[in-house]
Amino acid sequence: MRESGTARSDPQSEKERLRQLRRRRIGFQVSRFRKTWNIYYRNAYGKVGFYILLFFVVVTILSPVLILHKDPSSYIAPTIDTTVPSLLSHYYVGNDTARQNQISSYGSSATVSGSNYVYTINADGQIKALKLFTNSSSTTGRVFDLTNVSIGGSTPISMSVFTLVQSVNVVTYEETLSNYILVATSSGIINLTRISDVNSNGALIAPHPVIWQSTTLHNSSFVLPPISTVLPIDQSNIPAIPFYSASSSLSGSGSNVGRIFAVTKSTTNSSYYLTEIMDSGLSVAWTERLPVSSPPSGMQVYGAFFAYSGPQLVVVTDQNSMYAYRMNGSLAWQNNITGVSYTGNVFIPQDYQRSPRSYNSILATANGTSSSVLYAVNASDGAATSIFQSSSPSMTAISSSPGSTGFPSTVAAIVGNDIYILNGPNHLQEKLSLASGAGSYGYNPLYDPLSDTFIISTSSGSLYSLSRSLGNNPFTWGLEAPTSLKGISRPYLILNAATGLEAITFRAENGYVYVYSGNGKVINPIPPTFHTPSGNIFPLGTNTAGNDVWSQFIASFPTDWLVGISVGLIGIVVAVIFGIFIGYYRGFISVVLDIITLTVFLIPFLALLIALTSVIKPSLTNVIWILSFTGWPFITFTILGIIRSLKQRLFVDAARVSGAGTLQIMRRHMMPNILPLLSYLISLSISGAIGAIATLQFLGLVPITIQTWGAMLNSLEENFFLAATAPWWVLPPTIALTLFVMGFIFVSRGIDEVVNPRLRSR
Amino acid sequence: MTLTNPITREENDESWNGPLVSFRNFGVNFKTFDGTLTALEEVDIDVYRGETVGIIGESGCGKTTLATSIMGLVADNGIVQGEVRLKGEIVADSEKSGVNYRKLKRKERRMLSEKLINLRWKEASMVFQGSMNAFNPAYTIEKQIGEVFKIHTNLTTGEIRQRIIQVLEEAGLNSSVLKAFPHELSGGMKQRAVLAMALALSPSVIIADEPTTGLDVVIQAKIIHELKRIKNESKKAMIVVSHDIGVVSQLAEKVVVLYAGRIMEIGNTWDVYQRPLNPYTLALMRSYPSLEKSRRRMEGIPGATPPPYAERKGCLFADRCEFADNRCIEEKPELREMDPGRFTRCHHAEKLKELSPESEKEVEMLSSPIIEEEDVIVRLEGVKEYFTLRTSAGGSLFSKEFGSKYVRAVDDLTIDIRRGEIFGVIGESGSGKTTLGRVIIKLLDATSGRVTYFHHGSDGVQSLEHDIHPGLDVRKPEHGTKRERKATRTPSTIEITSAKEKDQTIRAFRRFSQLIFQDPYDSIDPKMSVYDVVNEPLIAHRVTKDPLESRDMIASALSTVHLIPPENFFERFSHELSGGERQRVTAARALVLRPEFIIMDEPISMLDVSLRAGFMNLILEMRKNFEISVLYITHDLASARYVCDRLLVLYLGVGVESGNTEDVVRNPAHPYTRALLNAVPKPTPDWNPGAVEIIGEIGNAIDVPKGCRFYRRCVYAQEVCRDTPPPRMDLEKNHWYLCHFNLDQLKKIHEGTENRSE
Repeated sequence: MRESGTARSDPQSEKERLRQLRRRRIGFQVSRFRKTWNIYYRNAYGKVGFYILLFFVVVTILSPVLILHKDPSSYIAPTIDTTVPSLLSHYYVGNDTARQNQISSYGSSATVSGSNYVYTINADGQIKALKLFTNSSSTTGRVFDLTNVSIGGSTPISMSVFTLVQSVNVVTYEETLSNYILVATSSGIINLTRISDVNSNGALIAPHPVIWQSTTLHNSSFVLPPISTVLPIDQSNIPAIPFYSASSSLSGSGSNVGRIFAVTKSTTNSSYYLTEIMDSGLSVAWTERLPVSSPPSGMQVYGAFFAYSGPQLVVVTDQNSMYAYRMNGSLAWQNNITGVSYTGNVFIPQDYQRSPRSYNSILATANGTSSSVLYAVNASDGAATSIFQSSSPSMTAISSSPGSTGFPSTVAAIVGNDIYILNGPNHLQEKLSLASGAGSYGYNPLYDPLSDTFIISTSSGSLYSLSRSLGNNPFTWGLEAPTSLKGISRPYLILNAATGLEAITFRAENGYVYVYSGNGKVINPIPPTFHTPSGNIFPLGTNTAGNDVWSQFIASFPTDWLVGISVGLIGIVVAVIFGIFIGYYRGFISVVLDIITLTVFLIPFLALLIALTSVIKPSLTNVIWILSFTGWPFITFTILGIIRSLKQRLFVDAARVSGAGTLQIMRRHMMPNILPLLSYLISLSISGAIGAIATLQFLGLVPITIQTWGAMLNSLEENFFLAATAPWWVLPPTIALTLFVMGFIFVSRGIDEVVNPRLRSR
Repeated sequence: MTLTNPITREENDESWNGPLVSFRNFGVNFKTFDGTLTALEEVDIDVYRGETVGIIGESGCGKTTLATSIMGLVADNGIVQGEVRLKGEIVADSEKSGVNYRKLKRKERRMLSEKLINLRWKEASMVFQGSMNAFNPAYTIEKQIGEVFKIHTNLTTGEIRQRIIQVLEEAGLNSSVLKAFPHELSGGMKQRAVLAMALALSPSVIIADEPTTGLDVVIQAKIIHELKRIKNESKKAMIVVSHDIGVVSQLAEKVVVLYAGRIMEIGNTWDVYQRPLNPYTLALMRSYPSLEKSRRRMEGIPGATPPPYAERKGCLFADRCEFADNRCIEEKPELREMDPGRFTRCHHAEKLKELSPESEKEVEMLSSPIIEEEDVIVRLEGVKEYFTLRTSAGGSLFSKEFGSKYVRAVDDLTIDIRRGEIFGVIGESGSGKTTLGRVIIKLLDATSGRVTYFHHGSDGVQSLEHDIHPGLDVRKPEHGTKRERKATRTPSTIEITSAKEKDQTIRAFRRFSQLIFQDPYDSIDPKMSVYDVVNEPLIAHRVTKDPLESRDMIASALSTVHLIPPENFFERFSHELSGGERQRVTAARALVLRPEFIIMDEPISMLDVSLRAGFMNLILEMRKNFEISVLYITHDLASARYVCDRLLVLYLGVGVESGNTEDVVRNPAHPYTRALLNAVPKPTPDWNPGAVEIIGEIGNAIDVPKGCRFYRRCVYAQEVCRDTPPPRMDLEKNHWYLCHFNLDQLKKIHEGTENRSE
């Protein structure tokens, strides 16, 4: 000691020695921890437990990144993902490449039967009629071979079907309707036939062609599908008014089919001609050479539903111009646009087809190299007004709801995968996006007046229903096309006159005609999916309420940790205070505390929890307090016993003899000796707390808005079959709870190895 | 391998002439978590009928492994070499024992265990260490011993009962214990019952593993007496395993000295004791405190037993041996036969032939420093410590008022402990020694009486301040003055009994006094490093805030107790230390504040034999260097004689004899003192444990006799002793005893009883 005294005289070396001493103490603590850690880590339980908890910690830390939807207990998956139209039926009609006009419309041949027919044509000219929705079940969904258009080496390029009132019962005013099929082939032939499914006595029989007319436009080939004034083939909407014509020239028909227009290319001089063909006898009324050098891109009839003959026009677009011809073949007007060219998608809102008004306009899309424009062309003078511009040069489809004022109430334009909803010229109401990869949106959306929705379809067969009322959840349903479809024709809306229900039908390349209901059905809980119409991913699907299970699962990690650790720590702190006090001191207060602890300990745990949660508002904080309140007595008794036995140990006496006060004994002897036990108890108490809150939420005593695994399992209590029907929802929280609790138990086993070295395996 | 039926076995019993137990090149290694540990190596021993072999060695030398392998009990992590045969049957060998047992086929295992079950208890029985505490507390002695017969014989209940009484009598008990539960028996009776159990099936070999450890010296003498009788009456072979040279010397004709799993020496007991041919045996003899040689300097064996996992190269004792040279470190010595029947494992055995086992060095430090008689450091006046016994629920509620019983742990004790002396308190367990120490140090509050502490010097603590840190200048004057101001208020006389724990005086007293506990394993916090343990008093008394200063003080305290270099011990935990090192650490903790007064409560009783001498020398050294006063509490007379200046013999809380050590040991006056002295086993053939004149065992201190406390056990007891408390008889200066009779009267009474008994 004296030697060291002399060494201290140099202040420099003293500082150095002090630093060395401190370094040595720190190094000692580190090596001590490392030793303890090695003992712990060598234990298989400890190791496994450590990695389990490490996983939970990592997930918890990453949870803000991993979580897909904040506030997952109130987030509900969009209906586009969770609502689908139900497949009503599908029928094989022959393997054929799906073309735009291969399937054609609907038709109700006889109101008495309420039958709907869907007609489809194959490449070899075979027309088939699919009868749907009859009241008699025997004929429901039956496919009839209707007729074979003799096309002789050419292929049908278009088919359109329209319905006319055939006769009216003078007593009952009941109308008899007939379907007419118009087929054009590549060799310039136009066929028109009436289909009837009643015999002369009015009894229902198989549909069959009644009158067959055919004409050939010589030296011509169709550039665009021929259209009729009655029902332009692009007018996919259900006509709400019957088509009467004063002079019906078609025999056997109560109304006029009207005129048929065809744009042809002459094989002799390569010029393009517009030809009007009268329905009666299919005679050519006039032929006008179009002042264009390139093939016209689109053709549309304006004023199809004008009840009386009005300013009906046939509109033809080429690249930069739109030409409007009157019914007598004279040019009414023409316009030119610059910078962009018409794509041929000419769309006339339904109301403008009904009555001639000055503001009636024709919508047409035009694409440029780097932009696209939606034009509204005034029907009376041809003035083109841009009503929407997009910076993407791929405006593919347009549609609109009816509108009787200057602008249709809603216009939908699809550019790429985006849908632009306009409620006025250049007034964008909403921009919506659809998932890419579902095929191109080449078909103009159907407008369904019953549900006031746009039905958007892709070439691959996906269908989405967009409510015109928009809101947070604008899509009312969505249908992802199964890949087996390969591609579909233009879908049609059909309305069952008898039931008032609508359906969507299309022909797919796999040879089937599909019929889907027009309204969606909720399919929650949906299984895990990474590809949804909305673009969301649901790695663990949804639950019955439509919540994202993944987000709930991930959001439960921090909450469960929070509950576990706070309950564990509060319990431990209270228990240590009580335990040390009761264990170390003798006397009245100690006895009272002992009795209090015992009282709380002896109250049945679950009953107390139920009682407390019903009295106290079970918020997260309160739940933590309640669980802590029930958790501490057990720990207290464990600590108390240890403290009492420690008190008897000689080293405590030795410390007292050395002059140590109570505080010093507590701090230097009691705490270090109960510390390993504490960590053991904490791990048990954390897992216990998580189990307890899971129990409470499972039983519904704590609101499931506190996002934990127990909350996720709450519905299971009402319907145990969910475990089988929706395992993606039930299994993750179950596994997580089990693993979490087991992780802590394993860790406590590992700590046990450190604390009780005698148990160490040889 | 064929099983013999009991009748032919009886015949074989007499006809078997080979060794009953034979070890052939036997060795055991244990595979453990930390490596392979060699427990035994190259053991060759034969034990014949009628022979008693003693096995001695320090703890961890493989004694118990050796004993249990005779029973075929090898832990299943043991790797066995060689073989052990019991009456010619192999009970343990490399193929069937330890790790390889698991590899046997099921049928072989069953055959082996059937064979062993038949051999155990019938051929060889064992008294396990501490087995007297292993009785099932819910069984009566009859049922407990009866189990042996039920398992191994087909006798009827009546026959079993007869046999039980027979073996109990053989073991020195009578049939009154048959219906007793273990807790109703005293330690000696329990140990006898264990012996009875071992004798039950009259085995040829009895193995006694530490048969007297944990027993009081008086009972130990009686058990030794019993074992001697059994040995002489039946022609059994006996193997006695003990660390106590005295016990083995009394029982065994042949002794085997084990060290770190190797046999160091074999030979006739007396021959080995008087003429050890192995340095280890020599060192063991020299470190063994006995009443004969206690005034000579004892020498502990330096160092510690080699770590069990270390490489076993050369002579394992080499680093502790005074004769060791390079050859010892490099080359493993073989067991050589020096004389007929004398084997030793040493390269230098020849040198030892001339040496005497006694150390030649006189104990220069044993000469007591001059102690002034009036310079008292601790004075006890009429100190009583009664513990209340609560007998019933009602009693516990109203214990203060009604009919509660007391344990009179310390009853009306008056002592002066002088400054600078080592004052010994001696007695059997239960006589109140530890309680006395705790009362003085104020771990217990005395029921009545007064304990006064006289602090040296009139200037109070201030002078102490400088005593504690010589060479340290007070570096923070503010603190210094504060402490000094406080110190001036400290009186130089401290009333310990009346003061409250928080009083300044008690805080001062805590600084001057210290306590070293019996159990070094429990008195060090297992969670604390040595540094923290020794630092504890410094923190408690806020001696310094400078970490360097406290570090220096700790280092100096550790070097004082020969833990050198102290830096190597700073970061070690108690489980990393040997027993001796632990006790040194507690001593360092006691010394770090340089106290004036230390109570040592049996500081060596839990240490290995080789370490005891070292620690006792340390006590003497401490007293010499630091002028401390020591209250030395022990049950071991030999060690008391070695270290103490004065002795107090305590019996059931009452001091029955006191005087200078030499006076008490040479001329014991009180019958109890005489019995205690006679009961200490001496490694000489003429010691007769049967001659210990004392009745029964120490009772409890609850129902004490009205008169003399020793009345019930005293062979001299007369009518007067029963009701009249004995007066104090003064013999010479400082030497007195409590008795009704003077020495002559006692002598006469003794002759009378002798005559009567004849």
